[in-house]
Amino acid sequence: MIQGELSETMHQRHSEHLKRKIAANASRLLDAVRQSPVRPKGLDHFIDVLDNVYVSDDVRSHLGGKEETPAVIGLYCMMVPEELIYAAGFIPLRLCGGSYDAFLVGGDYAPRDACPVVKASLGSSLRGVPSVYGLCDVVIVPTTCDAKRKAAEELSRFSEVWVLEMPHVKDSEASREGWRCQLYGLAKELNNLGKRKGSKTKINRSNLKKAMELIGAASYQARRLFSLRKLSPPALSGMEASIALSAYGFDRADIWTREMKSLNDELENRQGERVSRCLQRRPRLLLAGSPSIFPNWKVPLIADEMGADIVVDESCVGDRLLYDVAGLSEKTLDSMIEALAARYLAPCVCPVFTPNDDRLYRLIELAGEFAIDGVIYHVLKGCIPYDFELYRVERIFRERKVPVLRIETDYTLEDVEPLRTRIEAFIEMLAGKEKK
Amino acid sequence: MNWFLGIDAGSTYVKAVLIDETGFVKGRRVSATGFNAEDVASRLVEEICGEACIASCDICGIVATGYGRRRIGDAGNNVTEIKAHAMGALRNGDAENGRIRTIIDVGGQDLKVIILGDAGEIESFVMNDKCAAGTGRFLEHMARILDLSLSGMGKLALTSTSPCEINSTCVVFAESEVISLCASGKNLADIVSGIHYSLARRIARMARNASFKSGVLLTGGGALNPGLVKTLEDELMTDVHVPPYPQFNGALGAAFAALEAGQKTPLTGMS
Amino acid sequence: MKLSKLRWSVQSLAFVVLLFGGTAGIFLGFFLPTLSCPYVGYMRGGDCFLLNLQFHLALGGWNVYAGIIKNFLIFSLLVVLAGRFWCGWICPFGFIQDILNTLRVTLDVKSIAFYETVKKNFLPIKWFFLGLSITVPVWIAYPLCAPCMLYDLSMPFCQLCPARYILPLAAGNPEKVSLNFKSAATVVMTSLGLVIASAALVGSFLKKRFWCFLCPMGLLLSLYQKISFMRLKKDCAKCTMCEACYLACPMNIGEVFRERKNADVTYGDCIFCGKCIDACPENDALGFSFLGKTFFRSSADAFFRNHYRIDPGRPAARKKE
Repeated sequence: MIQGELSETMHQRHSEHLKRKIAANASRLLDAVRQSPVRPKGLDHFIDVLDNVYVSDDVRSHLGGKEETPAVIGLYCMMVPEELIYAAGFIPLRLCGGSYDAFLVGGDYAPRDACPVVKASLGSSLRGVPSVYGLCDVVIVPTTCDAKRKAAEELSRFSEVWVLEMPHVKDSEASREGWRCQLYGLAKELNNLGKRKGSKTKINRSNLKKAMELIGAASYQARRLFSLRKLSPPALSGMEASIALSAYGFDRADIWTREMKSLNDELENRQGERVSRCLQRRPRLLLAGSPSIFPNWKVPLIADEMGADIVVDESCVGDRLLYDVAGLSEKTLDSMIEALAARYLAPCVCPVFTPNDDRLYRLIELAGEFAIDGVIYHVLKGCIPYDFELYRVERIFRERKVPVLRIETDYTLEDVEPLRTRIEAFIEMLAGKEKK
Repeated sequence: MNWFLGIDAGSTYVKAVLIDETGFVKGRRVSATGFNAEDVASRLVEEICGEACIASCDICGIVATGYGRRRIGDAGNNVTEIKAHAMGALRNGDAENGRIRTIIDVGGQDLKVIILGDAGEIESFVMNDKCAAGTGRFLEHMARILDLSLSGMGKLALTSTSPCEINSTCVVFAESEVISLCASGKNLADIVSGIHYSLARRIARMARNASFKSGVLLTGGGALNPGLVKTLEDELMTDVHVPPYPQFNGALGAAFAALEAGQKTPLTGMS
Repeated sequence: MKLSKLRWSVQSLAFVVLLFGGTAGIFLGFFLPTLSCPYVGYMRGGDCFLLNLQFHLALGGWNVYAGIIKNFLIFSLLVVLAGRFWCGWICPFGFIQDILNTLRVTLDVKSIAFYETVKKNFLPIKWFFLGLSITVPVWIAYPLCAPCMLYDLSMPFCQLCPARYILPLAAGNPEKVSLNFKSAATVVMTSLGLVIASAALVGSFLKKRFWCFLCPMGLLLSLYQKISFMRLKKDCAKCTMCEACYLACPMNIGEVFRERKNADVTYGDCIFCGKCIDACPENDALGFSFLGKTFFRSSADAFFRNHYRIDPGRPAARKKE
């Protein structure tokens, strides 16, 4: 419970403490990736971005100075159209939290059973650590799940919060109309923010088209990476792919796309040399469920350690982040906003939507495309939407004889050993099946 | 003659089983884990070899399982308890094994339900290692409160004709219930039987969650308790088989894992 | 936009042939399943079936009716072969509507919202036009017990059809855009017709293919939907439900993107313009098929090339090794 506001010096001290811990944890993970001998060179930029954000806390060094980017906008979830933000001349950053230490801080401001992502975000926002949290002029929170919605109110203590009302039923005219209105409203607010910041940019047809092309190019490169993981063995490890995708949340889209293109080219070239980490075919896993946000890599790390490859991650920080792309059939301003509204709502299979049969179809398709041996269904404590869908996901995979392992965990390290046992037993089970 | 050894480094006891290349069990040893599982394991290895009159260097492969499996320096390899129990259950010479499809392992600190397919492969598993409900710890704690021995409790439970209702499966809350039952002068056998039913209910709930199949084998230290076997049969409404030396099932499975690795051709498990 | 460029070319060619082909001696027939208006004059390259239907029905006589049946059979054959391809790729009035739409896009004018419920409300109007084309001429030829119908109303739909005013104008013949003062009936009909034509033009500027929601020729063609050889196919497993096809569709067909099981998503409203295929960002999710052979498939590479000008260069590693 809140004991009362801290004094300035105490707050400073707590922030320094948190910064050190986050830096230490992130550093350990990034170094592990750096030290891998088969790491592709193209990954270095993305490792550096995450390093700048979490370790050296110097995000401006890759985002550019204040003059180049008049405002930085923090986003939660993936339903906020980044194209509108780029069109207005601002930079979007993703703030969903993954730090265990921030989770401990934020736990005092959220109910015990609330989702750890929200707690970590609250903790980071309170302390302003990593500094990206303090950098954001505005934070946009779509009304996705309960915890996010209520956290928006708490977050408004630390920065200006815009709530974007997102419909939970996708396929109805009322929802589509309402969502489009929300986006028009967002565009207006962005223009107003620009005026406040002294920028002359207003969202218009030309800059929105450029912004859509920017994100479209990013989506193209993300899809290339997606395809490269279908290969057997996958062109890069689950962790390496995760680094590249996580870096997107903190990088400028044009730079990210450029570096991603080099990475993809490098991966395609070295497929010829068949760089593989081990001679035996490792079981191929689909990571489903609540997102594993950097640096919360508990489950992917254990799976990798225990001898399996996570070849596809269906969560919003994994392969779902940039897969969908808006259609640019008609290039009027209104059609483009309509296209954005459709792209950010219709194909999104987050379980906050009802009904969500589309997710089941998507999972079946992914399992086939990636030749999945097993599914790890990761549920964060308090994540009711994902947990509710477990039964249907288990059913569809049972029909296809693909084993599913449910893992429930949160942002503490207490349950690493039990998790290891379960995941190891699961992978043993899969490897045994393959032998037969 | 080639020898293979399996070590089950549990949290409460370390068990070791020695088999020859035909799968015949040559020796079994158990000892409390204490502080250093590795030392205890080494001692058990020496003792087993001494009994079987072989040198420890004659052992072709040692595989460890259980909570402390990675810390056993003697072991060349390790497998999870899930795999070990599954392998042990199919190969321990019991005639019922042809029909075993569910393994329930009631350990000292955890509870596992393993579902097997028709070819003996592991289809799915469920574990509880978060709390003491459904584990041996539940019985140990109750035995201490009632000042009985563990072995005595099981036999006493069988003599009861009208067991008390103990609603909690949580060890802490059940303790309060037991104490009030004692205070109200209920028959000790009935209370003990009620305790066993509470434990069996928890185990049965987990088995049902795992969609258990009939052909149930009970392993682990808990299987030595005849009271638990009977109450579990009542709760599951199906026969529960107990293999000979049930608490060695994990170590036996680990020994067979060593055997398979050594032989490179797996034994077919169904007798 | 390969598919759409092809379509523009075919549409332009059809426009020229149907409006001016007569000067080169081309005449494709009296049974065309498209609004190729005879009012264009001697230059025209073919006749709209509806005019000939109405004209001959009003004449009466068994020989004439036999001739109608013969034309109807050829008409049906053309529709079974190509379905509403006739609407999307050949119809000259459709071409004009598409040009107006392009004008709107260039001027950055917002399209009017068109809910699927509105589509349903327009259906009675289509049936009214079609019904008018059949019942009134037959009434003129065979009054039976009913009072005599004016002969001036022998081609009632044609007087109301926007193509009758607009296509001659497009062919360089503005006199047809006028009231016909021959009789009170013709004055009323042509005034109504001019109003409808203006509404159709303004409507098509503000909404893609507005007239197609009212067109009785379209209705007639849509009745053949189940048996036509030209079909729209969908691979539902590949579909990510992104709604891009729905947004691109001029006929606002939502059932295509909603379909989750069937491979055949040919609907009566679909004019086979192929915009959905162009808009689809997944490989092989949508495609045209003729007698079971699929062509013009959607493709992710084509999508990125056409919408975002991203040249794949080296083909991405799509296939599993």
